Parts: sequence; C-alpha cells; structure tokens
Amino acid sequence: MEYVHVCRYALIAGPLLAAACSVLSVFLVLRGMAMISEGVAHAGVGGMGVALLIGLVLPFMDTQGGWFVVTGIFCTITALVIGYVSRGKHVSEDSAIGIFLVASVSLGVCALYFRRFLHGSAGTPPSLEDILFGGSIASANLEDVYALIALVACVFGIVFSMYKAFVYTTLDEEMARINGVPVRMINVLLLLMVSVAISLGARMVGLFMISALIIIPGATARLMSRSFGRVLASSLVVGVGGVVGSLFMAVLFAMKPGLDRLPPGPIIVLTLFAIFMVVWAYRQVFKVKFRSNVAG
Amino acid sequence: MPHTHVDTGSALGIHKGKDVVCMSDVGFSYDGRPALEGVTLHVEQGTTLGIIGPNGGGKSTLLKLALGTMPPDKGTITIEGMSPKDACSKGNVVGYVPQRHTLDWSFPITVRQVVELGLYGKKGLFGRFNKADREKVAETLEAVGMSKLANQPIGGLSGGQQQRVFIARALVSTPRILFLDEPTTGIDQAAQESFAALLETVKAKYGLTIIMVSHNLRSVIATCDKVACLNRTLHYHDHPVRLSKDVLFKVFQCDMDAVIDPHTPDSCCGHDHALSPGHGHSH
Repeated sequence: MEYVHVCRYALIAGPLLAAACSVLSVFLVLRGMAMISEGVAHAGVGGMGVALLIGLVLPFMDTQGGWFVVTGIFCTITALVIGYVSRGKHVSEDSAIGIFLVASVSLGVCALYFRRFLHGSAGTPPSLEDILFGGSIASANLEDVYALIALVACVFGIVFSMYKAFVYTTLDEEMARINGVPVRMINVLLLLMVSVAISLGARMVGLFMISALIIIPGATARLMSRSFGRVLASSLVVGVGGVVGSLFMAVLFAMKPGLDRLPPGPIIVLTLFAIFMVVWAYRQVFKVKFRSNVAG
Repeated sequence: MPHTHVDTGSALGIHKGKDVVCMSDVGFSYDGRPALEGVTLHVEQGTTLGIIGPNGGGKSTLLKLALGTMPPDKGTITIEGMSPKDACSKGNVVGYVPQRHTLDWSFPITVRQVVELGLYGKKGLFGRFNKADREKVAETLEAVGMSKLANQPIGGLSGGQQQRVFIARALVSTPRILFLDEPTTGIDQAAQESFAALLETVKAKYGLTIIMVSHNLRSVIATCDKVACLNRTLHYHDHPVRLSKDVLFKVFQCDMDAVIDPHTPDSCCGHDHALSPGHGHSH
C-alpha cells in the first residue's frame, strides 16, 4: 500500500491520459490516420532534443513545463508539415510520415548528445531511455495530473461541443465541406489535440509507446460496435480500463527488487495489445453479427 | 470552340419562370487541359434536368463547380442569385446526392445518424438537435421509405437503400434545388425504376428543381423532363425524346439508335467510349 501511495499520481494521470487519447483514437482510426500519431510521437523525440538545447540558452525553459511547450509546438509543426508535403501526388502520406519520423528521432538523439557534450548532465535532463520508453511509475507528479486534467477538459469540451462537425468530417470530408463544416479547422484542432496529448503523455508512457494509446482503443472499439456513440464508449472502456489494469500490474512489478525501474509504458502497450487480440479473435471465432432491425 | 446557350424554359412554349441555376460561359481546366469550355446553362425552377455525357466529359467537374468546391477559371455560376458556396452552406437551398462510392459504408453509424448530418448547414457548428429536428429526420426517412431501417448500421444496406439514405440526407434540410451525381450507377433495374418513382414523389412533395448528372441515358429519359449533353462543351438542349442521333453521336462518339427507342435494350449506356475532339480531362 505504501508503494501505491508513492505511485498515486501515476494511478490518476494514467486514466486521464487514456480518456483523452481514447476519444481522439476513434476519429483518427476511422479516418485512416492512425499512423500520423506515430509520426507525431517520433517528432516528439526531435522536439525534446530541441527543447533541451533551448533549455541551455534559456534556463527558464529548462523545466518540465518548458520541455512540454517546445515539444508540443515541434510536434504540431511537424504534423502540419507532413500534411503539406504529402498533399500533392508525388509524396504519399506514409512516405512523408516515414521521412519525418526518422529525421526527428535522429535530430533528438543528436541534440541530446550535444547537450551532454556542452553541459554535462547539469539540469538533470531526462535520459534517452526515459524519453523513448517513459520514466518509472513513481516519477509521475502533481504537475502531470493538473496538465492531464486540463487536457481531458479540452479534448472532451472541443469534441463534444462540435460533435456533429467532427463526426461529419470523419465520415465524409467532402460532403462536410460542401455543407459548410469548417473542415480545415476541425483537422487542425484534431492534430493539435493529438500533439498536445502525445507531448503530455510521453513523460509517463514514452514517445515510442504513446501512439499505442491513440491507435489501439479506437481500433478495438471498431470491432465491438457499429454505432458511432457506442464505438466512442467502447474506446473509452478499452483505453481507460486497459491503462488502469496495466498500471496496477506495473505497481506490482515495481515493488520487486530489480524491476523498480521498469517503465509502465511497455506494460500498458502489451495490455492494450492483448485486449485488441482477444476482441479480434472473439469476432473471428464466433463470427459475431451485430444486432440489426429487420430489413423493410 | 463555339458554345451553345441552353435555355430549359423555351422549348415547349412554356412560360419562362425564374431561373434558379445560372451558368454563364463557364470554363475550367486541370493543369492546363480544358475540362469545360464556354458552358452556358440556365435552369428554370421546377425543372428536372439531366446532364448526360461520356466519362471524362466534364459532368462531375460541372457539379463540383456548381457546389462551390472549386471556382471556375472563367465565367460565373449563381444559385438563386448567390455564389455556389454560399448557397450550399446556407443549408436549405441546395441538396446534394453524391456517388455512393464516396462513402465508407463500413463506418460505424446508423441510417438515422447519417440523415441527421444533413441538418448541419441549418444548425451550424455548435447547434444541438431539438424535437422538431428529430421529427423532420423521421419524416424524411418516411418519405424515402427507410423508416424501418432507421436504426440499422449503414454497413448492411443494399445499393438501392444506400441511395435512399443519401437522398434523405440531402432532403432533410428542405432544399429547393437537388443535385444528383450518377444516382443509378451500380444499382439493378428494379432499384432504378424504384429510384425514378421516388424522385417523382419527392419532387412533388418538396417542390424541387432537380439537376441530375448521369451517363445512363435510359435513366435520364425515364426521369428527366429536360436534358443537356455535355462533352467539354454543351451540345444539346430540350426534351430527351427530341434528342437527335446527330447530337448524341457528337457527344458520345457512337451510334445511339438503341438508346433513342426506350423499348429496345440499351447497349450503349455506361460504356466508356473513347473520346475524341471534344474530350475533356478525366475527372
């Protein structure tokens, strides 16, 4: 129980992060944009590297908050540039994502080593391992919780106040545009929310793992229901439930000597993956048909 | 290339009413290759106009311009005196029934939810549905014969049912002008006849002006009271039965004998004819 108290912030922050990511997941998966979250997450590595270098020049930015701001801006700009570069016929979206993904990771790794070269380990910047896979479960703090409360409020507030616009754009972007939906604004808002969620969640889950929270809940929910509202609800159940379960497992592991540094990120991802495979296998084996009205 | 002025109100000596869709000398090119040239078209209120032509002849381009998704390179288009973009976003002026393949029919959404989205233009970004909106959706589903399937996910629908969902989505905001893009593609003969009957019913019920783009001559002859032939330029006019073989040959570049007689099996409809001097950019 004492160790649970030590990890209490992670046990609150995790479900909050999962709730925000699960909602975003439905819109990205249904639009076939799941891989953009992978690109944005890897851009976060570059963003973190840039943040650490900026922190050397501007010491007031060399804090958790400062790193988050720079990383978030870097992720958003990268996502917008990927969209711009791939809008023509000559560069496909998956090529653009691949190119910017590896370039960003490389930028981040080089920046991190330059920081160490220039300033040693002063300022206790996160290690490359922490950046990629997340810190230990005990490293989550109250600042993370406040930031994630704000994230959930923004995501839920924006999506549910403009619910029809988000659904219409996801279902049929061209018709939505014809009917006056501000499609560009909706797309930018979606990208912005994904970038902020990734930047905030990276501390806990790691930049290499966070995209799983934005892909798996929506992909699993799609297998579970054929009504949009129920897909959203299912995504929340899968995402939040999966994260809560895996965090308790992470606490149990962390109490074992030698495993206390095991980051929760990989445990969360493996748990969500297991849920997805169980749902998928159930559908294949039992050939589930969803309840429908009699055709008229 | 000379253009033909098309006046749908003149031919049978009918008193000319208000023109609701006006296109003047419209031109459009893709990467320098002309898709439309000198298209002038005035559509009178209450008309059912069919725009026929071969694939690549500019029909879908003309629709996109009329819906305001892109501006013409040349000429002007007005819908009830407004720009196409303003007319479409108003919500109760223009309804549009796109081709069925434009939608992912495996999307997790019900028939009722799709039709509700057609009210977006009237309700706006933050608008919420009220009882009157829900009743309107129910009434529209009834009008197209889809009430019993209202809570059905769209994934299990037949081609004809999908078409009705699209029509309901377009009609729920009570538009005055309805555009349809290849509405009979991929549906069987029985569904086509059912569609023609449905169009008559909704036209009478809602007092619509209908503009239908199609390469299916039989369907156009069955449903439209006026027809225009488009193959980069507008070659035609007037009542479909009066379409001459010369005009059809010029537009489709093949012998259309079988088509002019509605009792003969239509062997030319839907074929992708090789195009010619009049050929526009593939759209």
